[in-house]
Amino acid sequence: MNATIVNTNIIRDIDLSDQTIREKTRIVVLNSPEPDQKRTDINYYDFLVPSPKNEYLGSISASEIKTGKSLKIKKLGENNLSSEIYRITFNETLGPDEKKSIKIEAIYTTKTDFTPKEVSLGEESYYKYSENVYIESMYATLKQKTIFKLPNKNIKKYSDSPAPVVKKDSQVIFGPYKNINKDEKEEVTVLYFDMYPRVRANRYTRTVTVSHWANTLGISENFAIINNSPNIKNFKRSTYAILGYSGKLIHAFTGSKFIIPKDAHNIYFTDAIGNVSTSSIENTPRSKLLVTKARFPIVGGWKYSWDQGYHSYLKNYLKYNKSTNKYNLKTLFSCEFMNSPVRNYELHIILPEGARDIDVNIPFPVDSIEYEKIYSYLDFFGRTKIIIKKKNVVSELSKPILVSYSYSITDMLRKPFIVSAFFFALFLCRITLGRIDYSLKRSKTLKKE
Amino acid sequence: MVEADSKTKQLNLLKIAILLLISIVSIGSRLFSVIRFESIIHEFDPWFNYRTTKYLVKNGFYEFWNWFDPQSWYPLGRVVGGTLYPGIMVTSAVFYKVLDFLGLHVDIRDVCVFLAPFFSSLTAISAYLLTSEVKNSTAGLLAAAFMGIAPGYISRSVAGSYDNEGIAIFLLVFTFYLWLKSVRLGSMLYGCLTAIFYFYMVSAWGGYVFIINMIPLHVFALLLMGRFSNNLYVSYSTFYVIGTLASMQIPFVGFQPTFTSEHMASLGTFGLLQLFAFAYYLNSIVPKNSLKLIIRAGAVLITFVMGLVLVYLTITKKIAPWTGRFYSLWDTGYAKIHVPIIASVSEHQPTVWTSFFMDLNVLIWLFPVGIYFVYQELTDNQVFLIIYAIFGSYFAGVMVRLILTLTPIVCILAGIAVSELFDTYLDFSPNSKLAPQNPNKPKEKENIEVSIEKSTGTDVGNNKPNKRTTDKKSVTFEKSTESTKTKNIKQTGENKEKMFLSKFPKVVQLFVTGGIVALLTLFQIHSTWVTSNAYSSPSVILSSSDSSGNRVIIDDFREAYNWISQNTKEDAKIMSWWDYGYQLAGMANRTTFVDNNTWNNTHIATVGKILASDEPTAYKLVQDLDIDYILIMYGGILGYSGDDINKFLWMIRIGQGVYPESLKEDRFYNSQGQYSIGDTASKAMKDSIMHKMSYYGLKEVMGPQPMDRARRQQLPSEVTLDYFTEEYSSENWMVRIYKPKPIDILGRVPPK
Repeated sequence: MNATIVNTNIIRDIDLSDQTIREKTRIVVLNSPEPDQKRTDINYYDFLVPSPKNEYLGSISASEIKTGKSLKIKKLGENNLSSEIYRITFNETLGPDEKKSIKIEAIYTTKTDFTPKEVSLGEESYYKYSENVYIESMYATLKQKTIFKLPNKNIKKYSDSPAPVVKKDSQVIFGPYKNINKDEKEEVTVLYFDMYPRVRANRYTRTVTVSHWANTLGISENFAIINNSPNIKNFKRSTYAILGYSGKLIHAFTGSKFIIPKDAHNIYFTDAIGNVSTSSIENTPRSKLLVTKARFPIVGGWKYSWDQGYHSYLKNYLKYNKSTNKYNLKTLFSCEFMNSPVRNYELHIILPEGARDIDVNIPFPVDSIEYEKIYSYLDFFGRTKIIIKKKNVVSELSKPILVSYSYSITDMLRKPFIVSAFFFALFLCRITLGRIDYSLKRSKTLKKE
Repeated sequence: MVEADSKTKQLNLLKIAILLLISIVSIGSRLFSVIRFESIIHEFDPWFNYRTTKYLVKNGFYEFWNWFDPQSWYPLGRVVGGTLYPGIMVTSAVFYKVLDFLGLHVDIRDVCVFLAPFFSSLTAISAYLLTSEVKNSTAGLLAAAFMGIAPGYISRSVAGSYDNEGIAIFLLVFTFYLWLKSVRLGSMLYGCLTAIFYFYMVSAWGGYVFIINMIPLHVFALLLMGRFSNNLYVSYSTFYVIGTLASMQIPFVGFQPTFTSEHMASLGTFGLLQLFAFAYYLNSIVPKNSLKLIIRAGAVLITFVMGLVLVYLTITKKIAPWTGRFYSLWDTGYAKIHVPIIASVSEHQPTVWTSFFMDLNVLIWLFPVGIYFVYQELTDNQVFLIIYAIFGSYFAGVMVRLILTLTPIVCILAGIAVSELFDTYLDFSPNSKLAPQNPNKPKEKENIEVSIEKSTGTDVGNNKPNKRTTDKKSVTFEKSTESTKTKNIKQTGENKEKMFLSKFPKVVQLFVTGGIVALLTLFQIHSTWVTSNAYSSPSVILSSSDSSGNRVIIDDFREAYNWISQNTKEDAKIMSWWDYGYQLAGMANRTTFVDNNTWNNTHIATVGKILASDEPTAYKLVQDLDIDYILIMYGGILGYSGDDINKFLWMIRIGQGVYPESLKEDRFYNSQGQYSIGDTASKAMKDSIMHKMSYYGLKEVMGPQPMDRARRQQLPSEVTLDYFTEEYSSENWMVRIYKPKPIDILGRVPPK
């Protein structure tokens, strides 16, 4: 353990104004060896993500504040702490008594809490957030401050200790605190109001199907969401309608907009029973907008699940690389859904029958990548389905990924060949059967001859 | 010889092409609903079929056969495998598996949606086969074309109408075709095939009873006409024995063919046929005098014994008493008085004459013409058509839905009628039937042959009528010339009118042909119109238009069902009127109390009683029955008249049948004797939870003069609900879902 590091100052912003919880931690790191310690250069900083927050960590990134350059960050394996350690590697080493400012941005998919637990439509209710006001760190911290950024000025309540606590516009600032012991804990709570719902996808599966024959890239997405706003006790339609007219409706999720590519066609939005007719397409200069409206308003505590999808032209996403003789497919890891967090995400990529030497390139770690054989339209040997699983997906991960595979022309011609062979066999059968005489008696024509 | 061969080949090709086109048309015209709306299962019963099909595909045949469904008829459950006709489910499962095996992976829903249109094309083809069997292929093609687009059949076979009738009508027509073929040929093979398709029909639809009564009736009629033949004996014996044994393999039918009255006619005819055969056999070996005695004595003895047996079996209840639905076939007023649950179904109502016109249009006039032409020849098979026509018409008049069984015979006979007319009037060759005749100058043979060669050489289509006329040796022909015409004018008597017309044969021909063509065109336009406007609504989705004329989809049913499936507990038990049971099970996947199977009248009556009771009584019953949610339909916002308030009287009537002491229909009429809502309603009506749940909270969103648009009456001024809470109401208030309040800690009534 390297204890020569001291956090001279930490400022932590916790942004609660959106669907996900964004934590931005700015740290001034000082390499300050004790007089009796060896003076060495340091080239990394260990950042702690305490439990149970680490269960919900969606993405984490680090950068140097002065230069704005991003830093490498990597999760370390097993440790005996309850927290998880992320090691940030510096670009240049930090000499003794040198300072460096770094910034760590973590996004969490934590389920929103609220109070009271159950309300009637239109009743006031608040989101609730609790957090250890002292930042957990492996190192001694000289000075620290935690700022809660809330959606608006309507802040119902916040903990008033440990002092100093200041409310400023839509912010609540705890601190600064000086020389806090490493193990000290003090939970603070803020109760704040937001008229927008907190929607979370419990399950989101995106299936990408590559078809060389149809020249399409089929995207289909299945969402199962829950509105994590205060639960509605009983849904009185008249109250809902009146609140809706007067614009006082809060925490109701009625639909969302999805950005889909310009070349999207065969667009659909359905659920288990069938087409949801209240959806439309809008054209924007660079893309299309799929405007969806759920079958019913999803008020606090309610769930909804649906499917949506479209076809794109494959040639816009698939490139053939002559040097490696491979096809490269570029597709988004996930699509943005109102910046809402996804708890369980799965990406399925179905490659054409006969695709070999498959390589998946994802710029961030995922939980697992599996391969499965499935049989689809007119398949003879089955095709490969890549299943990529990841928990806690946030909109920041909506980045392109690359899948490369080799695929030969014979694979492509197999299908029409099999189909034509089948029909040929069918006609052949008919011709043969037509020429067989089934009757027990000798037929007249034979007699004549 | 070779030339003639190639001509028949050409004709066959033409026939196949026409049939193919008919198939395409019959499938195409059934797709309105998919294009207008979407590929969705329609209405009520199809949702059950769809759900069971999904179960069959998922769990396999044996699981399906033994399926006990705890989700319906809570808390009784339903032995699904033993209480349904599995034909349609198995058919679609087979289609699905075959397509899957071939590498065509389609959704089982799409198989179910498109099954009925596919089978309708097969029906058209079997109508062709049947008509060709009894008449000729011209009539066959016309019959097929009619069958393909007759609205009477389309009403039950549009895409998405995944019901038994969808395949059953094909089976009905095809079984009859095989039967007629086997009678004509006396072939055991065709007898067996008839039995097999009869078995398929039994597995598919309760209407199989129609076949098992029609065929014996045909046999019986032939016997009465003295047309007993070995052919008849062979085919009926084969059919009856194999068909009956096969039909008993369906658990829902079981031993019914041996003891229910619906099957007795076939058994009796079978016995009678044996006696006839025996008598004929005796006839060949015993001298005539003693034969008479034997037959008389035998007849008396057998009648006596049979009568005794029948009486005995009826008394000991071995022969099941007639069921209500069967009675209502004979007496249309029966159900209304005795079995409200049957009378409450709109498709069991007697048919109004307009619906004959709507469903069959011009065919309904051509139908008797066809019967007339059939009487002219009256072969064994044509006797069948007449019997079918009579019984089909009767049943269609009794129950609206049975227009469906009438449609095939109407199409067939209309096909015969039109083909006869065309045969006569479309023959422009000089020696047609209409051409002036002179029986004194029999020099026809040569001329005919010449003309046939000419007409067949130029036009394949015209060839057929000619051929037919040459077959008919009774008619004589004459080449028409100017001289014969002038001679004919002098002829007297009955030929006078004909002779007058025959002055302008072509004009008359053109006039008549043009008229028929116009009529048929009208029929086609009418069919398309009816199909697109009346029969293509899924009824799960409604559509209307807004003030600017844009189409608005009203999707409240699915909205509410989807809400239930997403936001109630998986084992939640939902009470609704039985109409929505299958939809609830199919779309919301929740336990229901009553559904469209309507096998347990008491259960339905209990639900009716709950809905008609005041809050405390209903609350107690709801607690006793472990009901989690109550779902009702309300159409007052949209002006949708098929809602629960309008069905309410039936609920009361059905409930009254079981709970006569606590439920009385009179109490729901106000002092003026009217069935009304709102402030003018009777006290029982205002107190009933149906009334309260329909109008609860509604006034708050309506303007100063709140109206119920479905009934055009004022809304009640105040509606309170103490024992139940509103859980969900759909966008247009069509579906309203309530929950009983939980019993509170202090046991207060009503719970606070």
